[in-house]
Amino acid sequence: MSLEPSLTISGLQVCFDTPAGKVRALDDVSFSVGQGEIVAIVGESGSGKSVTALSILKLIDMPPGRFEGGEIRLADHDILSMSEHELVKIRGSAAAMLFQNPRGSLDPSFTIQSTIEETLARHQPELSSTDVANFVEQCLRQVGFHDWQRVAASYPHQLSGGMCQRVAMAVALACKPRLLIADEPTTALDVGVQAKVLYQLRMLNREQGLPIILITHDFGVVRAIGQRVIVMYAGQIQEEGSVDEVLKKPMHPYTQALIRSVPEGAVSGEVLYQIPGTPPDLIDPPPACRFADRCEAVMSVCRRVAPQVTTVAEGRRVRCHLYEQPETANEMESVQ
Amino acid sequence: MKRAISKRHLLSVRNISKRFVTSTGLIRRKIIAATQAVDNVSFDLHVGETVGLVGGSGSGKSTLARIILRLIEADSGEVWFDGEPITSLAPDRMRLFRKDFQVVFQDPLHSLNPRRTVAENIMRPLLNFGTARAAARLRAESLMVTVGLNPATIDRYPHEFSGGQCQRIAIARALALKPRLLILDEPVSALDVSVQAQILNLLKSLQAEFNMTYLFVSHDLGLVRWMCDRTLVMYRGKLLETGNSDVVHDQPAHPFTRDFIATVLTMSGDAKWADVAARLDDAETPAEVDEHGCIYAPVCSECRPVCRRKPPVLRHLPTGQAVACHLYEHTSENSAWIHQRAAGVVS
Repeated sequence: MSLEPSLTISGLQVCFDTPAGKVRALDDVSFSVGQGEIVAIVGESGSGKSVTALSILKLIDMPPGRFEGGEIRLADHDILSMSEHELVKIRGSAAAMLFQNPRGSLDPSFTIQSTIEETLARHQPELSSTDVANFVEQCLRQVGFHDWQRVAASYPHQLSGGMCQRVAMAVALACKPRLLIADEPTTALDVGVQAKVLYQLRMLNREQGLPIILITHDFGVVRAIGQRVIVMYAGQIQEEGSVDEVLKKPMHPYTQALIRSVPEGAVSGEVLYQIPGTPPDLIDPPPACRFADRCEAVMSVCRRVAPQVTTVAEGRRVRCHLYEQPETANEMESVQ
Repeated sequence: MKRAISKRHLLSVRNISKRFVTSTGLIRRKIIAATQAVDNVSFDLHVGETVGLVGGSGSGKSTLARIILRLIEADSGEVWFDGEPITSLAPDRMRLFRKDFQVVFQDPLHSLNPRRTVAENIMRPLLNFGTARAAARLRAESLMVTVGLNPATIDRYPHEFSGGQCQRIAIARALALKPRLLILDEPVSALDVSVQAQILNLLKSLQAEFNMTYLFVSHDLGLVRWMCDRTLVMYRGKLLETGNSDVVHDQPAHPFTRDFIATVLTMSGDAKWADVAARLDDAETPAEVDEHGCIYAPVCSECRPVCRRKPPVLRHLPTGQAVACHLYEHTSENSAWIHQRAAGVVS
């Protein structure tokens, strides 16, 4: 493992101009993904996890989207300064994406074989026709298809949702990506199929050292294959740490509440824990802590001063006044 | 709130089967593929009970729910509702029964009419059954309160509400006619975790308040365990295991149920899912199952020769479950094993 991270995002600000006003979808998002690492980004709808994923390859529609600040370094590319023409060349190879709806990301009028061949023709035009044939087999085998000939000859509608998602993985792999971004790859699939897809993702990571960003709302998925987890809420990263630590000892009150509301292990007859209130409107978010109105541990400072990300231990960061160093907190109070 | 579960059957499903056929050819239709979506399924629902219908996609659980609602017709078998065989009722008689059972679907936004206000959506069933407009409007407003929404927002359109709020609206609409049976087809699968908890709590308190019977269709065994008194496990159209939810969850008898539970990803991080996934990996499209054998035999970790020869039937175990599996047949070899298992010697 080299020490150079494969992706570094710092201070990313993304907003969308809508008729109702400016939606601040991402605010001060900073994180990095190391070589061979699986980083899970978890959050509810509207938390900004998908916008983060799309930003990495600048796949956000502009307008209405707008990058207001920050930097994205993917391998040695400075993504935000690249033109569309330059981006087209690196999409797929610098990083490839998997989406939630696998059937929607495959063209229904082409067989799997021709879909993969097309991808190869685009990204590795130097391959000979024999090489292409071998590569198709290799790609399909990599995602666990032993009967790859049958799959290659099929159209997307002839395959199940789980198979389509694995085909989408094969297509992504055909570009030899250096990072895989999987946006809710198993949300549309049922448990058995989900297990298979996650198993394949983990195999790719283990055998080829492929770094993966896994966007999900499901802590079970995070636990299953994630190594590090980033918890997002209202467009900000609230907590980051190893999966073990965050799930066992969540620090941010939001993470704690979210984990508590998972029905797993709840005793029947007991009322499930629910987080009071609703997520804030990102056109006019709360001025200080964005979780303050729903937080059980809210203090007066939480409504006055925006909490900064505090590094509480190696690789463990949290955006909450509870964990800020007393001196810094005092300083902020005096500034106020 | 405590619910009263009566011994009386509200719904009885008897030997329901349904086959979907894919055919080709314009004049001479030729059948090219057939799927046995539901295969000879029978069960009962007691008044006031919540029963979970669990299975993966393609297990036939939603088809079965639709057959009970008579949104599609079964090929054979009968559904009895409160002592009346509703599968054979003429449409006009059937219509009278419709208000007794209502349904809540998975995707709340798509199950509401986007061109009508929330008021119109909730009032529709009332108007269909002859309630005057003014009275229906009042009832719709009180239903908004019942499901935890602000009645002042009743003249807005569904797209102005969040997913969780839309699901509350769908629930309000389902409650409008005071149904006795509510069929919940994956009611929280499309919602965020924190919103899921809100909707599930709401459903539970409504059930106690209005003494409704629930058929809860879901792929999430953990949820079903919390929500349901009994659990029915389906796989490829067949009922493989039934029993008390805690028992089915803690001591699953059928190898399928065990695999199914193992693939449920939990926060406690049981690593068994990967082993099962590795085994299931080769069985994405199981080879043509021998019609005479067990449906799970091609994938099963405990498959024996008999499993490929003859179909297992549901039989009752000392633990209270019923299971369709040859492992539990009363041969001398098996009965010792069953007793050990019931005593917790074998896991």
